[in-house]
Amino acid sequence: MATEARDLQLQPSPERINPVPEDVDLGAYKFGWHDPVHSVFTPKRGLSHDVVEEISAMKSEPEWMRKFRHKALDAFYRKPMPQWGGDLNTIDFDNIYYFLRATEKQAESWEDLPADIKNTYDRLGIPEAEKQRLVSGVAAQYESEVVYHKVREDLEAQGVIFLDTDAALREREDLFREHFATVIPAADNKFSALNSAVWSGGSFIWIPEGVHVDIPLQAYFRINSQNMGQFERTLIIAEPGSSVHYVEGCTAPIYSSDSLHSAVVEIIVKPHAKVRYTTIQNWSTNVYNLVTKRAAAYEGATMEWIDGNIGSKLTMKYPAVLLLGEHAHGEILSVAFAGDGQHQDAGAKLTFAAPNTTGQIVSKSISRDGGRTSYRGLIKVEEDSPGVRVNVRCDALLLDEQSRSDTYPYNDVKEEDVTLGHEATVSKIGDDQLFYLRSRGLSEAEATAMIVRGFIEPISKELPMEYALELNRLISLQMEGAVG
Amino acid sequence: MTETSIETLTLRGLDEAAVTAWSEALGDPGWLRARRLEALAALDKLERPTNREEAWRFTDPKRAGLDRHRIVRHAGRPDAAGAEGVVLTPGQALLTPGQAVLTPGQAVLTQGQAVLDHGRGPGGAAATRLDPGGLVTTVDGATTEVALAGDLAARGVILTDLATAAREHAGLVEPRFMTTAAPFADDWFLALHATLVTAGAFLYVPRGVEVEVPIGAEFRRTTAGATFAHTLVVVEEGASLTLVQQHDSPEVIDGPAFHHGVTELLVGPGASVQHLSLQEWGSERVNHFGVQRAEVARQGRFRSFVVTLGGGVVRVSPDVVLREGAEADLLGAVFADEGQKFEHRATVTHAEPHARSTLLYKAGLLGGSRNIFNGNLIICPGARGTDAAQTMRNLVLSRHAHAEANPFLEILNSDVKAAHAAATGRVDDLHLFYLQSRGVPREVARRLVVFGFFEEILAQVTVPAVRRRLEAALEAELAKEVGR
Repeated sequence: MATEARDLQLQPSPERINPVPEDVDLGAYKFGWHDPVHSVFTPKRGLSHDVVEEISAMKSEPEWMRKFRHKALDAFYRKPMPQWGGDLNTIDFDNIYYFLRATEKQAESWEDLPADIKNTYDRLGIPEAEKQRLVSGVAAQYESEVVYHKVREDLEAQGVIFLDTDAALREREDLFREHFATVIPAADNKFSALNSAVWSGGSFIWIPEGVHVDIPLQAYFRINSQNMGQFERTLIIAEPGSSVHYVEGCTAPIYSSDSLHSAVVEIIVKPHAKVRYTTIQNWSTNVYNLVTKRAAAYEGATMEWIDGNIGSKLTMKYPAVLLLGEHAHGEILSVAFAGDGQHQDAGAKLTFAAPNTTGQIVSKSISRDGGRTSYRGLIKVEEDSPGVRVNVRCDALLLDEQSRSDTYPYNDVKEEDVTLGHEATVSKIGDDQLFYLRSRGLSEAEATAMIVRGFIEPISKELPMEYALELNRLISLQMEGAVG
Repeated sequence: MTETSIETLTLRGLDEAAVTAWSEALGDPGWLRARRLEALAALDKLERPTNREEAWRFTDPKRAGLDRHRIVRHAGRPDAAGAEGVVLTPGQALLTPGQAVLTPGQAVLTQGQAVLDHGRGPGGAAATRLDPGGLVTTVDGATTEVALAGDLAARGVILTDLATAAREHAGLVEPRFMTTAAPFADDWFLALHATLVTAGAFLYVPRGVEVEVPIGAEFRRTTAGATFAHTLVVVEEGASLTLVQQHDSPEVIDGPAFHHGVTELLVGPGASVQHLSLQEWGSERVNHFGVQRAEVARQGRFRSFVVTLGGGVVRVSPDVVLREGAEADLLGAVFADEGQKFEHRATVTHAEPHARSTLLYKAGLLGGSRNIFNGNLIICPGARGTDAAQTMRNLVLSRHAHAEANPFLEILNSDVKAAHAAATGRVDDLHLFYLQSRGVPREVARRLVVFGFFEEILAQVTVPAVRRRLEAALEAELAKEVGR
């Protein structure tokens, strides 16, 4: 096998996009992964140091990144599988594709995309959004890599960098290296280690000092193949006094066997900057969605996570804000919807490590048709951070007798001068509410959907208009089956 | 002490022969010996817990010191002079009948500058003494005293030490001892407990008998080593009982001590049981793991009151299972000072419909102390019409204190009313300001506010002697703070 691979390397490869540099040690190669004949190489399943080597070489990465990946893989092997949250023991790591290249090179315009990919995004309505200037920039990731990328010219002129993460490493290595893996170290947890080993794609955003990006930057993530593993890596740096809103959406087709999405998102919010990160996750119900998201907020900075989890088989995701400078503010608004066969183990984490920092968490979850939602949260107040104020509110709505809702809040305080409140309620839709709406001529399904929309309103009102509409539409769709 | 024979055992030497010899020395009947050997077999199969698992992440099971400590058992019978020569800290012996208690403790009260005067005149000391209707005293793993009021015995109430109960009331004890409320196969510590338990109390209240006076069970430690003590309480249909368990030690003890206590409370249909557990260890060299399991049958009522003031590492875990229409109120008051690490881990399971439960735990934390509240409210599928609430509050009185409050909900049914709340904060400046503006000195105002914080709980202590005692203890703790 190894010999075969080496033979293939010797063939001329004019179409190779990322030629393997001469100085990369290819001693570990065992597979003919960079077969230049098709340039969109033949995918293989399974995880090993060879696969990591392949990915790194294919991307012509600098040595430090190659080493980083290998070290991360060792950490992944070393760390035990988490035994809390959802059932992860059913993930077959050997049956997953860790890297799939769907197209030869990034398209300049939507028309340049291969027809099937273009159709996918057309159906998601993304080119339309860009055409109408509803967004400042668009990135579209298909399988492992970003296939389309565009940023508005005026923002580019102001110095805003919006690249896919692979391109950022190539083109902005110093800036990239300065911030990469500083908020989430590779060995933070088992899945951040996995991502660090095999990451590909994602967005890299740098907002210069004092620049306000008033219309959201958007990214669309699409898994298309069966048993695909998508491991995008996003890094956002907001320089002092700047602001940006980043929106991501996720979809995948339904297959009979499972896919894995394990992203790492790091955000650095420098003094007095503001970042809002909105996610509408609508993976198909065969995707394991195991994501690490964390932001570091410095003096006077504001970080907001708005996190909608509608799809996936199992989501384990707890967006976090580390409040590291005085008067920093962190906010997490989270909505989760679990239907048949779904487990949304979502939540939020706030760590207060500076005086007079403040935070808020609002979580709304809806379980129906045997689905399970779990809120898992952590509030941590470190020593010597007086004047911390934080409030947590978790509400759960259970729509039937088979469904389940859990609340697991951890509140850990090592400081005297703190005001911490946590409240949670669990309820069902009141018969009197339903009766009232039905007496006004609404069907039971319409009435239920309306009540659910009202329940999540504190969060949907924070979304950009088209996403709020989308969320309401998704919930109405989910509800259609809910009422017999 | 006539024969000062202290028998010991170590964990390493724990095998069938050792357990058989241990059992013979304790004078066990055959069934109890057989159960110990069954538990030993279960112990071999169970994994020994470490602080890497969720249930033990806050209190390291190593704090039991079982690898260092000898497991001790004083060779004593009821009425043997086991407690002879013991110097008790003043104010410790709440339960000792016919003895003036708290005499020197009064000095503490007056020292406390009479912040609150609950009519504490010259008879104040007597008012904090409890005259129980019956008492079993266990000192260092051996029963030293058993007393029961004649009229209660005449009404069929049984109160005796565990060894006597195993022999003379086997028909009542054998089917229940570590089989239903706290089955020994549940976890490693329970299996070890069933293997080694040396003493404790058995209390039986027949159908319909209402016991008006509290019954006491005292557990005293005077020497180093590990002990395992048990309390089995059976309250039949329609009967009622108040049980006060007190855990105490002198201020000076000759080495590190560990006390493992298991209390099983079987509350019959329509019965009413009030359980007070006071952790008042005089020495911080005593570590204590207390398991309290209550099974409340249909329409039964149960009230648990946990008060933790003394000890080094203390982990108390009340666990209540409610059947149809049953009710439970769990109350907790905790006051921790420098060097103390407490964990209170309450679980309430609504197994059947229409049960009601509340939980209210409060802690005041001084110095570098730590307290962890964990609550888990589990509502099973089919437990319709459940009404449950949990509240935990930490009052942090020092910059170096560490408070955690983790109120969990696991809800598998939509027809429920469930809510929880947790809060951590310090003494409110506004309250202090108000009192100071009325001419109350700042320190006194501070103590009034702390008293007010606990008042909500103290008001629910229905045994006046216990309530007055708690107030006195609280004042003593606060007086210590002033001395800083």
